[in-house]
Amino acid sequence: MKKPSSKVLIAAAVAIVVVAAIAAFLLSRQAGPAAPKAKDVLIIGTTDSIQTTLDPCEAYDYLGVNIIENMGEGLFKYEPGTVKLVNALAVSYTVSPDRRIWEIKIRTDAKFQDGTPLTAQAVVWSWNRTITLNQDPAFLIADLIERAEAVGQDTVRVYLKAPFEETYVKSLLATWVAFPVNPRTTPMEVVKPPNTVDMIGPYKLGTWKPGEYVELVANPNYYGEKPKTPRIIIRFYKDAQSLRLAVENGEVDVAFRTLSPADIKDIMEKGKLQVVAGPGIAPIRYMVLNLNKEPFDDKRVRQAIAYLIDREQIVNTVFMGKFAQPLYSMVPVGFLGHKDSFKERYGSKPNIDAARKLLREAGYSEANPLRIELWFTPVRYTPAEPDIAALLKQQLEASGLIKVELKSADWATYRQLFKEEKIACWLLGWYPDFLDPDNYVRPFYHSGANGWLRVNYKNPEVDRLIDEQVLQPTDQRVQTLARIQDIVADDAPIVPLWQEGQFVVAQPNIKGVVLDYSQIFRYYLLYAEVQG
Amino acid sequence: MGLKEHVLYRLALTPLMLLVLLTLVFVLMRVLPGDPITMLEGKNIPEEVLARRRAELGLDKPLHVQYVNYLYSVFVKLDLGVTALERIPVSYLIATRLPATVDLAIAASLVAIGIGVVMGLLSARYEESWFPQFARVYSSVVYSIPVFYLGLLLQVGLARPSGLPTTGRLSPVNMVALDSLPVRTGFVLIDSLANGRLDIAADYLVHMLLPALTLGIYLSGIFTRVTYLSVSEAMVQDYTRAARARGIREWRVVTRYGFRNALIPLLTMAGLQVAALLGGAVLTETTFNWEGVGLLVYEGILKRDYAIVQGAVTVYALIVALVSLVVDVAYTLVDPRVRY
Repeated sequence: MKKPSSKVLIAAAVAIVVVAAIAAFLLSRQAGPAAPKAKDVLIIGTTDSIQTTLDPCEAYDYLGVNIIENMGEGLFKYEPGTVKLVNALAVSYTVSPDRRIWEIKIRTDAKFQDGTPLTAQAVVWSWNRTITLNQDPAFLIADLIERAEAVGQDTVRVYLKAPFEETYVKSLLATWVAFPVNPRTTPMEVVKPPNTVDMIGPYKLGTWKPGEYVELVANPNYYGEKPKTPRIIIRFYKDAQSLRLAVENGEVDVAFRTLSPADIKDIMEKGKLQVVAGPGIAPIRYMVLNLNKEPFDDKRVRQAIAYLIDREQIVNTVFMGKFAQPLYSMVPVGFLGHKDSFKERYGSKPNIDAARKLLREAGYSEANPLRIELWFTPVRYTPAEPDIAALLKQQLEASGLIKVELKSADWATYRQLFKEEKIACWLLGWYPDFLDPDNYVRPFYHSGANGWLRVNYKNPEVDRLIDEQVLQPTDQRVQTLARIQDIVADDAPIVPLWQEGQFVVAQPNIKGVVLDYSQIFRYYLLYAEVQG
Repeated sequence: MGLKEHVLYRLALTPLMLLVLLTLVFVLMRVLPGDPITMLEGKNIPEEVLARRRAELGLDKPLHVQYVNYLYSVFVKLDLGVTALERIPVSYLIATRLPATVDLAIAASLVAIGIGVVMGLLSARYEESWFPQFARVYSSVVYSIPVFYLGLLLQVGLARPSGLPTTGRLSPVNMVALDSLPVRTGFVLIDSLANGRLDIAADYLVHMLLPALTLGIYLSGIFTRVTYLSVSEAMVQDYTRAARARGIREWRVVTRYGFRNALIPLLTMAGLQVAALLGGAVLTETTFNWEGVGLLVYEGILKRDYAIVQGAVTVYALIVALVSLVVDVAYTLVDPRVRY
């Protein structure tokens, strides 16, 4: 038999490769990404990652906590769409006259994923586990609870460390670190990836492939309303660009955190996907000035900077006026006690004359301008960070007496630089640990708690007021918070800039997106409307 | 030295090479500001909790102690350690990610060698035409273009109009489906075909197209040049003249007599390019969200996760050492003149 010529062989090989490629493409179109979607599974794309574990005693990053919020709940929770704390696993509670002892009755119909009923003993055991293991977020309840005990099967008695205000206590007991976990199956150590613990919530963990995806499936033993979509897959993307391509290609149903504002604008203009915007506080953004460093040890310089910042310009230019709002206090809009102290003290528009006057008093002139380095980190917060830094430079230099040099570094370097106090003026962001104004004043202004920030701000009056406000009844607390905000606006060690809203980009058939100040993205409310 | 001795000698040198590399990576990672625990900072985690975490990782010890501990762990305990924050064994992470990198490397090599050999042969065959000039410019351009930029160009130029996927190895639904299949080797093609899931295999190939093209095109320049130079060198030798004189057609002279001369340099180049391939894979995987060891390294560097970077470099070094050894042995098979 004659051997086939090499030409024939090459032609055959090329033909096979081409046919295989076309077949693969067609086959994948049919059976691949789009086919099994419909309504039993939704795919959520994100650029966030799970930083540590999905164990509520240790998780302390946005995505990790958010997934836990969908797999568990505490004695109290936020009603979707509001900042109202309602009973979750609690049925009722009483507070002793001295406000130090709480008796909380819990549900008797709630079960863990394996069918074990919830008991008061389980709640107490879970809290003790968190406090004993003392991981990153443990202080949220460790600083609150002196001790807790079970009274019968359905009542938890909590002894507080101080007579704290009621909403403050409930907001801390609503945090993920206080979620009951199943004592029967949970070890007295942190549960590592790819596992989590058994909690009481709409979903339970399906498969978790670290760095790739997390699958959540409906928890059949959940006492409450079943999730609208039985399966959720959270797919991780490395950056905003990959996420945008994925949602535009239809590979994901929902893109949540974080596309750049410019991408969102582009997507809105194209009109093929829906963009849902909601109020937000995660993060709030601010500029830190190290008071131990020249020239920021001079209050006049700090106040001049506060006079020059134009928050509205940042919000309108970078965030299209939609995805953020100007922030005039570290306590964000929407929170108990919020007061626009910086607006009252410095105005909502830049006051160049006032700034120039202060700078001249401090010894600066056109011939001898104030030279500062403004630092930012390009990846950790919004992808628009370099644009924002450029705007801030422009605003400060508008005074004619300041020369700004912009500098940037990746997070690990950045953190090291401000920790070692090698930089004096830098941009940061804050994600709340719990939804209470205390979490927006204590970590920044209380000299016993702001060491991590290296702002070196210490004001005994502010320290005292911060300690007092958590013990006061609500009306009085609001007044104390206002006083704190006024003092720190005048001292200006930190300049609040804006608070970022939340936005979700989703395929047109996705419903049930609820975005509110709680920052919890509730997967169990999401569903895809099926056509036809 | 015989072949056997040569192989043993090379194997004996491998730990030494590893030691040098690991020392280099150890120092480089520590020169970078910050450490793995830095990622947790910026929140009000109590200082004592952070200090305890550092102590758990041994980061509170002097550098030379950390260095000795690490070498002991790798060389004596054969343990690559755990990631700093999640505490996942690095060996598990690398084992789950390596198949993706191997697949990408094989596919990209096929693309690179395919394009390189065809362009090299065409250049040699049509020496007098414009084609060799074109091939030269092509080689220079693709070799000098940053691989992530090439990836972006393909994403915008090819994927947008055609709807080809640009991120990941599989669509999310198939990723989960794959992990629940009964037969699991970690290699997607093998697993999906062994379990009769043609749709997953097809999805994988489609996802692989752009990353493989990117890395393959990037490396094809050098193969084009090597093929062309070796073949054209052979084309002026007496034995090719003799072949022509016997009336053998020119294309056949090029492919049969000229190309054989190019095999050794091509093989050498393929061996040498393994390191470039793995280096290019880091950028390609990052561009396409291709979840291989390269993407792991990128994330490891950003997170300052020493264990991940050191572990991945160890595995990379072993692969490069192994491949170059295989190439050495392969010489003797391709060219009987080669002796050790």
